[in-house]
Amino acid sequence: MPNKLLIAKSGKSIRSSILDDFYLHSDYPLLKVHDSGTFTTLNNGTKTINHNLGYRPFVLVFSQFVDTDGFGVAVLTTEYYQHDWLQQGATINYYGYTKIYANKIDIVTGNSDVTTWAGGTKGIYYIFKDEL
Amino acid sequence: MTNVFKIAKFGFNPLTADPKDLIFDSTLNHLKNKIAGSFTQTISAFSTYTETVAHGLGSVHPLCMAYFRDTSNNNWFISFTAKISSPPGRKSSLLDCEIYSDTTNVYIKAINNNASSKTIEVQYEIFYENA
Repeated sequence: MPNKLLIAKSGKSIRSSILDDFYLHSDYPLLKVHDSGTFTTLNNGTKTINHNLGYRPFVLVFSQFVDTDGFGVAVLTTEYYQHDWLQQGATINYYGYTKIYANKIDIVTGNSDVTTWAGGTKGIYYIFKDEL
Repeated sequence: MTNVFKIAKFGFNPLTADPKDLIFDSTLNHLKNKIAGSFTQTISAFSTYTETVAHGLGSVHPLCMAYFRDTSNNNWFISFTAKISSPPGRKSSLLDCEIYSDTTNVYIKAINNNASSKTIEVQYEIFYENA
């Protein structure tokens, strides 16, 4: 039987059977950050981040989101929304999504009519060493 | 020389294991929880409810995650941003939950695309990690 290393939260028993009572429990891996940063993509652009892990890692990506102003005009939010996202307009669809490969991720933001949106989209990404 | 502390998964050697096979590695950053919270809210048909949580991390966008369920069952889903004008916005559930942030708050928006009121339970985590 392997040894265990446990760090319990203040006021919690090290013998607790509730996982949320621990900061660290050696039976359960913590997400380990491989790479993180900010990005800006252009209209219908793809931002490629090479991670070279050799397997598909767990990834979290957030970016600005295209909303409408109530009069049918597309506006870019200041908030960052979790990928994937889709805004379905009357004639144009706006989207942000992330594709995960063994050695890179492709962060895509854009729309179905590339002539109508020219602004860049900002966001953040975290790539973990943990395999999907 | 800096000391290094590693814990490997059962069956792996911490001296040689690939990082994905480690439980903990003191040379790597790990997600550190700033705020963990939850709420339960009854939402009218085709309506939304937004919970606002001040993250207190300064002028950054923090990493965050949310999971949710319809309280009438125990099927949990990860949050998902879906802005589709004619519901349902999500194939797997007529309930939906978005999480997004600005430099002050994290917002958890619960969406009911059902024709009747529903009660949603949401659990969320906001991390110190940000950009």
